[in-house]
Amino acid sequence: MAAIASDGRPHGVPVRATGLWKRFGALDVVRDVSLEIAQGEVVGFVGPNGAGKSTTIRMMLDIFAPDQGTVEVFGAPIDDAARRRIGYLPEERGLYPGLRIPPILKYMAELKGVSTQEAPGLADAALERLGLTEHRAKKVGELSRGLRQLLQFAATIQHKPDFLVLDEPFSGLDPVNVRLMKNTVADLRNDGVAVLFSTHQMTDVEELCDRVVMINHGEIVLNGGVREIRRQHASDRLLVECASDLPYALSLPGVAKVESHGDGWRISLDDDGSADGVLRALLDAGVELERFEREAPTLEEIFLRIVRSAGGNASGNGTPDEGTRTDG
Amino acid sequence: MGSVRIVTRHEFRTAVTRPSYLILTAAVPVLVALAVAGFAIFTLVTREDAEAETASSTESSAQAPRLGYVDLTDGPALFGAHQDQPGAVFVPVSDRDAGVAALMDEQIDALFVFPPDYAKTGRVVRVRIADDGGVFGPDGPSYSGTLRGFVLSNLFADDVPAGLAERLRIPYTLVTEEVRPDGAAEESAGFDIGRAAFFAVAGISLLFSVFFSSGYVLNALVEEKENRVMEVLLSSVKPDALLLGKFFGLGAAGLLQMAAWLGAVGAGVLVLGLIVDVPTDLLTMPGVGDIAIAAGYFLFGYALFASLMAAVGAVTTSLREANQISAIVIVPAFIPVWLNFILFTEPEGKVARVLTFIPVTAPVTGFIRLAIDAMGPLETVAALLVLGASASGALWLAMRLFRAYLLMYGKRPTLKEMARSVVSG
Repeated sequence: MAAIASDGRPHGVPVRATGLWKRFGALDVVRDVSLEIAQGEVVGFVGPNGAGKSTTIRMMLDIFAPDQGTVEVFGAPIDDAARRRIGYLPEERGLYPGLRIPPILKYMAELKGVSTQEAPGLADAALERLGLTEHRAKKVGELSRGLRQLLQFAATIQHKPDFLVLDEPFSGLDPVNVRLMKNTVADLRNDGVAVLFSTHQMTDVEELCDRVVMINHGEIVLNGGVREIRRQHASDRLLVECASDLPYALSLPGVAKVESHGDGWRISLDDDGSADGVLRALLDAGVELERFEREAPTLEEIFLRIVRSAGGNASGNGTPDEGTRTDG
Repeated sequence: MGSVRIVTRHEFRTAVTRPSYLILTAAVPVLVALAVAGFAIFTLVTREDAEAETASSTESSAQAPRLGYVDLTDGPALFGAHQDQPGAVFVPVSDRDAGVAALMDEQIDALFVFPPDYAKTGRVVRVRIADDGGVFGPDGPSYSGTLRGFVLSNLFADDVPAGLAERLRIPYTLVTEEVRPDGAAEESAGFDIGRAAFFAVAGISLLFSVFFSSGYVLNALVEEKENRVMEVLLSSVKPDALLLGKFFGLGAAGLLQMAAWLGAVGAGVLVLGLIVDVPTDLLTMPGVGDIAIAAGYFLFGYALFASLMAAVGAVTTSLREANQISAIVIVPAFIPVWLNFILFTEPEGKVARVLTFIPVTAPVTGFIRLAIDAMGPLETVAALLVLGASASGALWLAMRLFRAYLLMYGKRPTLKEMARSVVSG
């Protein structure tokens, strides 16, 4: 449960979902999903389209009621007070195109419990942080798609949430604004904000997230630290770079194959082989090593491997009922 | 309740600052002002003409119409004792030819000839100058009432007791006395023009509100679904609070619009009263009871139609589709208007009573029947209770559908799916 520190911000695990289950029609869209996010932690939430990500998020935010399971935010079921400490940038997002920016930000801030007097100052700070100050007087409909997205992000973070949920936040943004947003998310994490980050971009997860949770067919199939998962899925292959050729490595015990790879070599181990044994043998042979590491798959490779082994399709696995909704 | 208040305030402010709202709200006062101004100008011009004509007539000592008559009846003269009648003076003329000459010279305004057999036949000849008459015909005033008074006065005034002579001119004024089952009697107040005008204006306003105020709720909901704002809002506020906030905020905007329109009409009538002689009944302020009844009908009517519109908005996926389906809700509201001939001819008949208790037709039917004083207090209260209960039920239905389909994009649910959602909550 989240404890409140002297600075007023929560410690521990501010967000905990346990055994969430959701059925639409005859289909179980989310099955027994449990998830925790700690203070100052960015959790990547990944999965193919229709895997149940958005439905899970909506249950965690009390937009959908789960058929089974519980959600605790800041130590209790979501109530109005908890809702005010959450920032949510959904995948299907938009603002009032006919309204100017200040009244929209004020309305969003007031819904988060910010006082009428305090709202303009917070809005200005968020706009300045995201480089939107010069557009302040414009109507939303006058902004480009990217600027609208940044504005929506400003509306999401202006009230300084303790729990931030971002669903595909970078889609449609140019690289400069993607970097701006990533830096802002990193700053928020450093401030102790718990972040749930749903995306299809594994490179973003590797860059931003401390932990990754993968969901497929409504079930969590992977949950752990990014480095830990990559290590767990590390292959039996070694990447070696050195000044000399390595064909003789074939004769080393435990080595099944040696092949050229980039500027170096890729060594495949057999069942008896070990990285330690190969390293020791190479050093004993006087090889001047410039690089020696176990080849680890990228998160994307792990993602594709898991989805394919489950018989799914990483580019589209929508469920019939979810087709009427915006589930990802 | 804090969230409801914030949504209410936002929706109200957003609605009342929309150009379409401002134009529509200002349209009625502007039209009323133009109508009053036009009428005032017309009245002033015609009054000047009338005053000029009156001045001219005064000069010729002929303010009241001069009606010539020729008494050719057998025996002693029947007419002549009572020549001054209200609004006219009867002038004796010696014979028909002299009368025609006076008529052509405009010395008299009309000529009546009482033939010799008048006493037997009752026949009186009005002589007119042949004329093509123009668009409005050649006749001018008929003077039939004045003639009747002249004839009765001269024939019988000297034979009736003092104090009854006036009854020759106006024999009676009919009033109705109603007897209650307990035997107590009370005189009917008769037709109250002011009350009728009040409920007529209120009924018309309600019809407009069906179009506009409840339409605002529909548009706001569907626009937020189309703009994808809905999900952002739902992370901050519960669906019920969001719907209630819209309901109250847009309802307040609608009420403000109605108040502006009713105020403009009321002010227009008052100004007209200063310009011309408007019947005092029309200038009477409606009673507290009438205002309370109208407010009840208006609020429950708005609540009913706004809730039904919200339900339509909840299950549709685009503004175009929503506007098409909303006809299912709006069209029944106009049934009482289409059946007005039945409501006016049989205001207490079966059709009128049934329409009074069907929720979607109740408000307009109620206003029509109240305008012609055809609803008793008990029936009014019962109808309001039924309407209030129906409005509550419609709001409950809208909330259920809103919760179930608030994030549905692209596909409209079937009736079966909607029924299941409403039942399961």
